[in-house]
Amino acid sequence: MTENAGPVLETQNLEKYFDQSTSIIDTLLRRENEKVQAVDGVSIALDSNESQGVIGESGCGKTTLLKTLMGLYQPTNGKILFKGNDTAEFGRKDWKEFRRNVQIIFQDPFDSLDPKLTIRETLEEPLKIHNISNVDERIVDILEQVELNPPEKYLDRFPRQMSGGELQRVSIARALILEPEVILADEPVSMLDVSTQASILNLLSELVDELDVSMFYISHDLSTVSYVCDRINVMYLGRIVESAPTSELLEDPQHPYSQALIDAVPIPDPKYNRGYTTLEGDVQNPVGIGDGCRFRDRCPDRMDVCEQTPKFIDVESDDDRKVACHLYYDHPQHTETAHTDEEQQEPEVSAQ
Amino acid sequence: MVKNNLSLMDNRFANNYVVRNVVGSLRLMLEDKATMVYFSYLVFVLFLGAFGPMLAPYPYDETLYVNGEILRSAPPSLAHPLGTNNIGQDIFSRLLYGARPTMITGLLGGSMIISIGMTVGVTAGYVGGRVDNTLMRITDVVYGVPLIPFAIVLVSLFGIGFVQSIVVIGLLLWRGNARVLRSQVLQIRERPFILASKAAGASRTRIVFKHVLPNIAPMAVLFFSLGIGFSILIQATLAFLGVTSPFIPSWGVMVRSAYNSGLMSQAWWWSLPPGLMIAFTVLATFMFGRSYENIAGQGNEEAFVQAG
Ligand code: SF4
Repeated sequence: MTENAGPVLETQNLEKYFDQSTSIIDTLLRRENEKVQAVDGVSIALDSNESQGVIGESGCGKTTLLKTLMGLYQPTNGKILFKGNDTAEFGRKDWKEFRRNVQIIFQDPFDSLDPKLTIRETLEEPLKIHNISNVDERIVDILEQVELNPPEKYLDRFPRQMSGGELQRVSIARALILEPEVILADEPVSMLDVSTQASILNLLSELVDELDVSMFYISHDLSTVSYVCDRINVMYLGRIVESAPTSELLEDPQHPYSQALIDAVPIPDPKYNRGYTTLEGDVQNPVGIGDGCRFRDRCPDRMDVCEQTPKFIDVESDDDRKVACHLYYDHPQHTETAHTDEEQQEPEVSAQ
Repeated sequence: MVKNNLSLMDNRFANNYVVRNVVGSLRLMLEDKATMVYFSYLVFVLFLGAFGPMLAPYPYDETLYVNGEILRSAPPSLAHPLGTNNIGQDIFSRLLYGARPTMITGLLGGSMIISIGMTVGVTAGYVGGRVDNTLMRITDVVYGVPLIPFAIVLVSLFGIGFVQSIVVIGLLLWRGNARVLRSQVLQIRERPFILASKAAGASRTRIVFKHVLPNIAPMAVLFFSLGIGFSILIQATLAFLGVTSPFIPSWGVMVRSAYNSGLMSQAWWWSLPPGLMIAFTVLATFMFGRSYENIAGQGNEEAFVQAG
């Protein structure tokens, strides 16, 4: 594995499709199996010490994205690069290195820890796998770091004897005990009650800063994401539709979907007056959906050209932001001529 | 700090996984009165199995004489609390002797069933893919085999014998275990704690032994006790049909002898006790297994309550 100054974890055009279960009749008739396009052409790069959020409604593929990143799913297409090395070419040793450096925190604290193991045994496991000595010391240290004090009190407890907040702290401890470089967090606070949410979020972002860890934080909840993340990617039906630094996204969302999301966040000021953008309709099923902007059924600004897949391009005024929407780039005058068979990679020529 | 670590070390031994789970759940189970009764009964049968022959007043195959006459089919009396059979053997003694083969049947049959079933089920569920398919098709085939006729055929192939009749049961009855345990594993392997441990780099073996098996253990215990019950029951059936060794005085063989003698209804002291012993033993294993399952289930519910 070669070191590389670039992003720690990066995806290039990552795709993950699932087969729908096929019945015997389908197989006999050789019916084409429609694929669920859970993740479709996602390219994101996570720099070291950076926290990036991926936000989207449930079912938009964000959890699949995370599991694919984790190497739990085989990508259908595209690449995952860890420190510039393609995970598809990983050997045993590389995987071990990867497993030590990329850890995950799940959503449901009550199901994230093996109910049959004590907290000590849970925390011990990663250390044993990677042959790390001074196990006891490390466990005590990490429990102190996640503010489970005194650690001795928790060591021999079972998950069923602890509260959700405490359990999530243990999950965080387990993710951090190997001193990883990347943490993947899948809605780590969404199942906790609000007061606990705040303290866990605080803890997480503090630790991530302190320990120089990078983090992908996945959630449907804009307020938690913007609290923890430097940069936010908005995901809709398997695609990233906008990517921008947190503050810029919140102040000035570009993509109609991001606008709707941000409008939906309550603002604690009764006098504040804003134009409501309401989202109508439901999220489509990402099954066998063809070309075109995936948001077009719900988009208030829909145009004819939206039948084609929009490019994911830099926003003109600001090269730190990207958006995938036809509103944000010029098209040739006669869109009709250009409209067939355009691929995402080879978009209609524009911007003269 | 140092002191603390030491005491933790001690704990670790007492906290050994298997010991901890077994002792812990047993304690919980015995809080329930009915379970306590079943449990005591099973302990009692085990005790009979171990020491019954020593307690028996007469050897099981001794023909008893009174005044030079064979004591045929005598009704219960003080000397023979359960009377004698048609060739003058003491029924009470035979009942005590009979506990041992019955116990061996249960334990051997039950262990075979659970070990084959669990191996097949867990392998199929966890490895998945082609292995899963192959193993499950084999299971389906075994499912299609009618138990008693097949057992009769196999036993006549292997020769009629006590052990053979148990092995045949073990070779067939694992099928249900395999199916259910497989589906349990399929559920468990997608749960976040397994994924987290994969993410930390745990090997397949580690995941199966550290996480999967302990979590299907309640189910496995239930199946083990059901397996014991079924083995005893079916072995008794086979004994009744005459496809096991008649020289090993299991309870099943006793019922058969009573039936064969044609005295089934008159000599109730002969046929009823072994029949009842079989029935109670099987019932006790089933109920015991059930309550273990309940306890394990309750543990989960507790977690859900907390989650909510
Ligand atoms: S591409 Fe078209 S449909 Fe899609 S978000 Fe932009 S304007 Fe709306």
